[in-house]
Order: sequence, then structure tokens, then C-alpha cells
Amino acid sequence: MRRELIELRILPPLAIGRLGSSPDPMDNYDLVIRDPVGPRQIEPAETLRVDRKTGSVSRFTPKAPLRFKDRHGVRPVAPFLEVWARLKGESKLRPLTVELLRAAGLKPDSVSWRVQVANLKIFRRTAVEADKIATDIRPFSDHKVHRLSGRCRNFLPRKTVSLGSVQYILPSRTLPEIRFRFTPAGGKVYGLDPADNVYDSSKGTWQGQYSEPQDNTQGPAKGRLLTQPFQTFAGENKGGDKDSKLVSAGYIDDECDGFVEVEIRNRTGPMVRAFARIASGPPAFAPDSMPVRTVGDELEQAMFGPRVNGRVTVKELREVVEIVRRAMETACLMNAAQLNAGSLQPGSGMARHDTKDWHRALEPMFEPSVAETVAIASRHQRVLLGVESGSLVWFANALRDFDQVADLSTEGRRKMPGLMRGSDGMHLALTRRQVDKIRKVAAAGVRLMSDRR
Amino acid sequence: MSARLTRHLQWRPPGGFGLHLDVYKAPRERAAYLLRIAAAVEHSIMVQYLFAAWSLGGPHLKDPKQIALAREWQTTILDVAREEMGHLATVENMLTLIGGVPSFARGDYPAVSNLYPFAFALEPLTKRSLARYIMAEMPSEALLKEHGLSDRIGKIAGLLRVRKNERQAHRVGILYDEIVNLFTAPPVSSVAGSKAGSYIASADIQAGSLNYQVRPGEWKLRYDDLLIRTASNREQAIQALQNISDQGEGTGLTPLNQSHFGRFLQIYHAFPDEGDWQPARKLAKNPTTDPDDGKASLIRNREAGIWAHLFNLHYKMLLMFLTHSFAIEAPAGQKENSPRALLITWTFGEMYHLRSIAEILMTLPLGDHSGNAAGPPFEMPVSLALAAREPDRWRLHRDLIGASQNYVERLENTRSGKKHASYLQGLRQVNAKALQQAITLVGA
Repeated sequence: MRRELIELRILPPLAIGRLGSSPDPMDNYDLVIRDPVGPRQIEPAETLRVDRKTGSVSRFTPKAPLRFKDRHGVRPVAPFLEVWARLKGESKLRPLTVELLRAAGLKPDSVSWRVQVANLKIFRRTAVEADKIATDIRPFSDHKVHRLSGRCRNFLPRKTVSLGSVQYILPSRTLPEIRFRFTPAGGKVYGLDPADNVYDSSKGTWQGQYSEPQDNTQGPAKGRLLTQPFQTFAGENKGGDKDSKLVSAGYIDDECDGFVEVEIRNRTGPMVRAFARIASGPPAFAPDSMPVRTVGDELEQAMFGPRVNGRVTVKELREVVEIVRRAMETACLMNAAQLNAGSLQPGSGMARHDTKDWHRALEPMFEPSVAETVAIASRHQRVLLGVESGSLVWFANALRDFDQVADLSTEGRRKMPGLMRGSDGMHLALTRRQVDKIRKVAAAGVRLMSDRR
Repeated sequence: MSARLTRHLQWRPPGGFGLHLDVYKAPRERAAYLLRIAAAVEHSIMVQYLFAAWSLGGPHLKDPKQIALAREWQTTILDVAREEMGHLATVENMLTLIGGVPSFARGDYPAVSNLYPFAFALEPLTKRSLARYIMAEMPSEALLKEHGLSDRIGKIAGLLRVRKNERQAHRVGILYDEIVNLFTAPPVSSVAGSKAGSYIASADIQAGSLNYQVRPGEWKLRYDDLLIRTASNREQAIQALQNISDQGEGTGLTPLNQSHFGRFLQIYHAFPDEGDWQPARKLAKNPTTDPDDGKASLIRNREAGIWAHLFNLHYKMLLMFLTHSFAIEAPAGQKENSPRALLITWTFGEMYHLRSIAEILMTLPLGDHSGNAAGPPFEMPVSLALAAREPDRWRLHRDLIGASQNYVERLENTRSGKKHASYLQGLRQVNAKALQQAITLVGA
């Protein structure tokens, strides 16, 4: 009897690639903790290798040590998207394979893909529709490489920006799952070299565009231009102290984000479809460490709420150890002295922002004599080791609450995480759920340690 | 140590509270002597409070309400202990201000100090030990009367068999009153008539010492109640000393219920009586590694003994790092790889290590058939003296860290070491990094 597909999903629903100009995408790896207070170890893991000409795929395990760059440049992180399906009469999703398609009377070429991605960075500043860089790859079912050529009405004639490529992977007997791959662009910046220029400044205003220090809402769509922080583009400060403005150098990069859509028409039943989000970001220059607050933390809070309900267990203790480890890893990467400096020089940290944004008295955040990277990293290492034995109280008490991000008092600015800026432009706080988890684990302290043993 | 430190100190007879010193007639030297005693007092009570706070809780508590109460009291007493650290730092700053040598010495136990109505003791928290803490932090008789607390304190004193005249004589605050007197200059109009040499001369109060003093920003991040004061003149010094006294006794701006005295009193009233449930673990009183100390509880269990030695070693490291940090001038402005910052960081780290090792010690048997667990011994090192040359100071740190590595190695093969393998592995790594830094600084 022919089966009917009633639901599709693309997993992961959000895939983030990383730019890189090498034709050989980055190998897969795991991060393993061998030293309780040391960096994570990068361990090679099984990787899928794609033949870009045919779309066929094979698996292999790379040898250590992994290379993040080769002679062509940085190796891009090119995520795979997998299609999962639910058949009529079944309650669970399972990977969509050639066999499952066959059961529904379908073949791999019954699967059709569409990709829409864009780079709206210029549009975000100018609010001019003609500044949108976008591409729309119409439905396809073949296994060729489809280039994502970003087009823009304000580009020079026949000029495009490569936003990467996509490919429908040819399923095989050993790897029969329906997969799709997004390979981000090379990480190029256009406009630095006139020969590479793509933007037509006779049509668009991006080169020379500026935002007023006191009013960044000017433009055709007032309010659209408000960004926090403002002036986050490459340019040059022009004018005096009072009328200084950042004038855009006209640079354009090749990052993008958008949607991948999959669609299958059942032979007799309805059409089923699903979509996922893809995005590209810069390469990971510290791949063996994790930020103290991640998208994962946001999603966990969105799914489970800002509070950890019920009695905390060893599971939460492990998660808290992980957060403290991430705090340590973040601190190790910071130029603490520079970020702590009470300076108005661009490139200095929150002290500068507090003064420029809120007219706070300019002074370093922490006592300069102790705010240096080696000392701060050492201190975090010892805190992490302390957590191993239930000493978390200090860390828990030092945390900044979500509603204290604008506390610019000396004590307020010294709360943890220190020296970092949140997406709202204020001092960074952990998510409410992270803070609640840490405090509850700190309160449970010794009990949890004896449970763990 | 204790007797040596306090042998020149006598209490005046009952009725005339105050201190009598048979030597140290010069005000500056007299103040330095009293500040050294104040430092020893703050250090001693901080250690006792830490021991008491760490003793609370543990697997023997099953009732969630009792667990919550033990946790709450532990937090309160740890806060008080941290504030005592702040007092200690402030006292050291005042010593530095008048050209004294910072002192982190304190009396070991069991030593009856004539500053207290009770002997210094490391013991799990009981109603009786709480009573001692209340007596140590107690404000003046007048303030007790004003708050209607005289009878209650009388009963608590009765529990400890402290007579009324002794109660006032042994207040910690009286020590600070005396030091404040030495810092206080008479009004200008009466200077001519005042007894020469009754107060510290202005020339002996050195603003230039400020860069050698502990700065609040270096040590405190979050604790608003952590009083770390610096001073560059007479008025600031007096204010700092009064603040310490206030925080302990609640005599000034600190409300009585938020003072150390008030917080201990609140715990005392809620604390279970003897024979009722006990919030503290069954720990040895005055645990020690010294087999010749007949009055303390010798840790006989072999593994517990090694952990106890490791604890003592890290306690020494903490004190040496701290002492050394006072000998280095704070850099002007931002400075990468500052030895002072490193020492302060290491000192913080040692606080964590002590807490962690204490926690492990409290799970190991004393080994004397009493059924008591061991505990952190807090034994004072023989000497806290710093070498005259900077590289030699780092040589000492290098050797201490190396000694810690040896203990870690020994512990890794024991049963308790395997249970805490992750901690030992982490300690080994932290030590290894610190060792590299120390070796670099020896060369520098």
C-alpha cells in the first residue's frame, strides 16, 4: 500500500554557516573537556564529504590536528540540513530517506528546493529598497551547485555579490537521507579595491552615507535606521567634536541570511512543505571556546521560561559548571586592560559607551591595577575549580540581573559578566534563566556535591 | 604567638574600661602595636566564623526547612566573615598609613587571649559558640540598655559564665576606641596645653603610603557591606576605624540588627537548643596536624591528614601572597602583567581552594573513634616574613606551589583522591600555570 507524507521538517530549523574562501569546507569536530580548568580539546568527528560535481556524499573521519585554514584561506563551515518526515498514521518524525520516498511512490527528484537569501545591511542604513542585495533560487530538484548571486538595483551593470552556494545532496545506498547543504561565501569585502567595486555610487548613496550623532532616524523611513549601537559600519569620522559624523566608506560584505524551503507533492495526496533558516557569520577565531551567553541560552529560556522550577539536580549543576567555564573562556579572550580603560578612543569598551551614550563620568570599570587579562583569566579558572566543590556563592552574588543592565554606578558596572555589551547596547546580563539556575545551584551547594558523588 | 603579641597589654581594673600598655609610650608605635593586635583579632575571628559557617548543613539534614535554615545562617555568617576580611584589610591599611609593617599573624589555638572572654576555638556552630560571637561583637552597655537588650545579653553571658565587669572589658570595640584616640588630634585651641606625645603626629601620617594600601576596587566586586577603607590623612583614618567598630557593634550608622552583633543575635534566638536538631556537621573541635598539640584534636586518619596538610599549605600561600601584595606599590594606571594583580588574584584563588579542601576534609573521618569528621585546621605557618629581595619572594611562592603539587600527587592515589579526581586534576593545572608565572617572576 502506498504511504502518504503528511508532514515535513528541516532540521536543524536554523543553521549558521561561517564564511571562508577555501573550496574545502571545515571538517566536523567535537569539543572535549579533558582539563577541568583548561581549554576544550578539538577532536575530529565523522564528517560528510561532498563531491560538488555530482552532489554525491561519503563519510570519513579526519585526522588530528584539524586545520581551520588551508592554502586557499579559511575553510568555511557549511552546514547540512536534513529533511524529516511523518507518514500518515504515524506520530513520530523520522529521517526522510530514499526508501521512505519510495514507500510514498516518490523518488529523490520529487523533492524540490527553493532558497531565498539576502544581505540587507546597506538597506538597514539607507532604507532604500534599491540597496537590498538578494537572490531567489527558484525550485530545483537536481544535485548541481546553485550559486547564490546577490543582485542589487544599485549595483554596477552585471555586477553581483556571491552570497555562497547551495546543493541538494545526492542520496546513496549508504547515506540515503535527504540532505541539503549551504556553503557560505568567501568572506570578501567589496569596495576596498576599486577593481572589486560592485556598487554604483551614481545611483545609490551608500558611499558617503552618514548618520548624525544625535539623530540616527533620518532617511526616507524614519525610525528604520535606529540601531543600537549606532555607527556600526566602516567609515571615517568627519567634522568637529560637536558635529562629528561617521561617513560610510561604502564597504559591502558577503554575509547573508534567509530561507531554505523544501516541497514534496504526494502522488495523490496534498503538497507538504517545510522551511528552515540559514545564515552566514564570520569564522570562529576561537573555536575551542564558547561565549558566556549564546543563542542556545536564549532558546532555552524561550522554551522553558525564565525560572528553573523544582529542585535543582546534578544536571543543573553540570549546566552551571558549563556556564562558569564559558565565562572563563570569554574572559580569556578579552583584552581586559583595553576594555576596562576609561578612554574615549574607539575600540575601548563600556566606559566609553557609558560616557558617550549616557554622559556618565569617564572612568575605568574595574580597578585598573587588577583588570588585566592574565589576572582575570586566572581568577575565573579558580572560580571554575571552586564550583567543582560547591563554592559558587561569590559568583552567584556577583551576577547582574536583567533589570540592572543600565545601572551605571561603580558597583553596578562591576557586576558579572563584566566589560561586555548586550544586544541592547547596555551592560550584558546573563539570561534570567541562567541567573536563576546559578543562584539555585549555589543555594543547593553542598547537597548537590554529595548527590554528584 | 598570641602571648608574644599581647604580653604588653593589660586590661585596666573593672570600673575603668580601657587598655593599659606597659611599653610603647610613643603614640605612633603604640597605635601600630594596637593595630597589629586588631589585625590579629580580625584574622582570628574571621577564621573562627569561616569554620563555623562551613560546618553548617551537610548530608545529615533531611528536613527541607532545616536545610533552608542552615543555609540561611551559613550565608549570614559567611557574609560576616567576609566583612571581617574587609576589617582586616582596613586595619592593615591604617598600619601602612603610619609606617607600620602589615601583620597577618594571629594566635593559634588553643590560646586564651585576654582580648576575649573566651578561648579562640575552631568548632562547629552551636548555641554556645554563637553566644561567644555575640559577646565578642557586643556594643557598649549603654547601647544595650537603650535597645532593651541588657537582660538578654546578661543571660547569654551567664551561659558562658562571663561576669558583668568582664563583659565590657573584652569588647572588641574598645580596642578601636583606643586606636581612634591615638589618631585624634586635640582642637587647635588646646594643642598648646595638651600633653605632648598623646596623639600621632601629622608628620607620621603618610599620604604617600596610599599606593601600598589595599584598594577597595581591587578586592571587592559586589559586596556593598565589605568595608575596605584607605586613608591618606588623620580624618580618613578615624572614619575608617569608626566604620569598622560600627559594623561590628551597630553603634554608628549601621543599624543594630544589621551589625555583626545584631545578626548573630538573630541567629541565636532561632537556633535550636542542645539536644534538639543540630544544623552543624559532627566535626572535630580544633582539628590539627600537630601530634604534639595535646589540647587540639589530632587528625589521625592518614588521608584526612594529607588533605589537612594541603589545606595548611594553601592557607600559608594565601597569607604569603597577601603579605607580598602589600609590599608592591600599585601601578599608576593600567598595567599588563602586574605582579600585584597576580598576587591579588592568587589570594582570591586560595580562598576558593581553602573552601574546596575544607569541604572535602569535612567528609573524612578524624580517625580517633569519636565518629567526628575532620575539618579545616587553619594552622598558622611558623613565619610570614618576606625575603628582602623581590626574586626571593617569588622563589618562596614557587616552592609553595611546588609543594602543593607534591600533595596533589600523593592524594591522587588515595581513595578520597580518586573520589575528588576532577578537583585534584584542576588544582594540578592551576598550580602548573601559577608555577610557570612564579618561575618567570623569579627570573624577572
